[in-house]
Amino acid sequence: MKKRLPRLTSLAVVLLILVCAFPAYASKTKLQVIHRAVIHEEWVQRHLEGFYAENPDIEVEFIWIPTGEYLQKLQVLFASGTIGDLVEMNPSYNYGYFAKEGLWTDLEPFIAQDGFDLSPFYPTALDAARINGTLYMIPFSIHPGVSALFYNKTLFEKAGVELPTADWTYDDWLAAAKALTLDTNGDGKIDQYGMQAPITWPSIMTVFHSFGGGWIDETGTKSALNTEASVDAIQWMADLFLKHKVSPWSSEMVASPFATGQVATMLGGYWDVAGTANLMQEGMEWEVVTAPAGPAGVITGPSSFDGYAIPAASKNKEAAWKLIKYMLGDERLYDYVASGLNPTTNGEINSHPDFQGLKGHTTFIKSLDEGNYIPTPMPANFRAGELRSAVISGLEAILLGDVPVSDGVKQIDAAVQRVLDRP
Amino acid sequence: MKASRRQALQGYLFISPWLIGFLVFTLGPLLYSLYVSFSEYSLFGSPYWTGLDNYQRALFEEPLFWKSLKNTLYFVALNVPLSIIGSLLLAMLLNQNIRGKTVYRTMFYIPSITPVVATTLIWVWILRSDFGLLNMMLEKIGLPAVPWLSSTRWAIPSLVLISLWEIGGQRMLIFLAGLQGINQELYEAADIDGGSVLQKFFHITLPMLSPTLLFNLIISIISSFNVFTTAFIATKGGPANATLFYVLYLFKNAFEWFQMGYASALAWLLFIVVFAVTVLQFVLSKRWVYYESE
Repeated sequence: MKKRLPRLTSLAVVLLILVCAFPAYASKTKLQVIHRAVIHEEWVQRHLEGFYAENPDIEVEFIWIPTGEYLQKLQVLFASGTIGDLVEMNPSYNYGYFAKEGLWTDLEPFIAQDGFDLSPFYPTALDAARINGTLYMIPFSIHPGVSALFYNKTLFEKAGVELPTADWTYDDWLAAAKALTLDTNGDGKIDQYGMQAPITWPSIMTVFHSFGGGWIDETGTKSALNTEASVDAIQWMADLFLKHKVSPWSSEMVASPFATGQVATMLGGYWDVAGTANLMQEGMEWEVVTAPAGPAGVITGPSSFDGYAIPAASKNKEAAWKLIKYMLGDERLYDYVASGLNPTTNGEINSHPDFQGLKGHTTFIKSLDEGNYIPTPMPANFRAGELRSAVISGLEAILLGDVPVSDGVKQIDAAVQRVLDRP
Repeated sequence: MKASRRQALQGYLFISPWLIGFLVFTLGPLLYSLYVSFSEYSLFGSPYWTGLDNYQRALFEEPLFWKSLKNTLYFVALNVPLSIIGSLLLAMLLNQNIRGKTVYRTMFYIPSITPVVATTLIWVWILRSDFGLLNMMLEKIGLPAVPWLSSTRWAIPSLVLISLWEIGGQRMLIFLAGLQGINQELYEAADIDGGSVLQKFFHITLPMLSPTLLFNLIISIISSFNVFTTAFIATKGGPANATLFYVLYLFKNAFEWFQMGYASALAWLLFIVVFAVTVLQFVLSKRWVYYESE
């Protein structure tokens, strides 16, 4: 008995500590948030203290995932039931597909309950975030897609080519690109190209739109690739490589051929400005103007947006909603634009005087305000990723010269239709 | 309890961690995937039975299925003979009494223990067409630059090159062990009879090495059919699906395109192909593999 006493005492002490500590621990709501790492992580981390100060009863546990792995990780988290309480979302991460599967929470009741004011938000972003009429995600950022022409002023001046203006057409652009495609060191090899051809995913869509074409019709059930406008767009892209040879092949380019001076022009989005500014070679001046007008005028896009969505399976929806509201606060959104990430969904923040001098800012905001963009077209079955893969691989075969445009278009058209026909 | 029964029980108890592990983590998922392959399953919700739809879709409706199978067979056809011949030659070289052979052996084996992701990224840089190391060397000796990973024609040979470098050392090591197991007296006898180098190779080395060769062949074929990581890192299946290998296609269906049912069907089809090829090798091996103990 004597021996047992100290043991019992220590057990009692441990129990006492647990009993005392547990209520304090249990009273905190633990929120699990899935967020993209790196740039967005820095933005969120800067404001966490403020959130905790306002909400001492909530503890946030983040899972930061690199952009490249985001989609796969999300699927696994959903499938394994560990998706948590709040997810940073973007239409390209199969937001629509998850909505179709009933995996999100309808946010309208939360908005109504708090009288949350959505009026400063771009209606296009909110409309695009509504899936079959229900709002499952509140966007915090929006961009008008690849809607500006970035040009290397130094290279233009060196070659004596007139600088681009906001009223340029695709013909003006091509003519300048030809004049800027040069063998600068005389070794018989081209070492400076006139443009980085717009053949990466968002910029392909800009070209399609600028020709008045697209890849799916407005019902999202039929391929629109084998139309005259779309074929013209593809022919134009193919000519850049096969006929005019004004662009290096994209998969072979360095991270930013524009910043290294390997190419003199490129189409870019808002997010490209900060990246380019970081990488730009010293001594090179560069500017951003509205994208050239294609045969159908300046219609860029697809516009896209990042936002927050609450998984249907979340047990802490109220707390998650508090974090959404907080991150959508003016101070956070102001910081978001100030970091050069993208415009926010709140138009008032975007037009803050502090931002008017930022390179390209007014150009992109003008596109947003004037509506010169198309929201990302969504297939009716929400199989966006598969669709993109079908278009890109088919286009690559054409642009490499492996198949003629007419045959290639038929192949992509069939591949796209196969995806659209799936449940 | 009888002694023999107790012994059996103890035996089962000892192997139970592996037995349970196999049942829970291998056989269970295997059987579940077989069930899922007959259903429509997006990973969310529960699968619903669609019978042979997924198999029918793969075999008769999807050009990408055949494209990926063709790409994989091309890879197998290039990679298997080259890796077998290359590593056998390496092993024979390093089986000679040359100075510093342990250093060479280590050097050739190092790629096998380096993470594939890291080596692939380095190879991507070496194979760049504009300022890649390989093209720079080619141009130095007056040869034209080759669009290694960026053309549909060269993409698979380039990935074979990467894969040879990665697995060559491993195969070499197995061959080396096989070579050292050959009784030297056989060579001495051949020397006395005046056998040439080639005669010794074809009549002593090759027959004596045939069990090792069979092992390497089977492992090579299976791993070549399963080629995934190099393409996933270096080309993502491009350009124009030229390196969309079977397992990469399967992965995309499962983890990017919400088609776990179809992906499971693909996995079982691949299993059937690989199983058939392996059985065929065992059957044919009776004609050319020589076991000393027989």
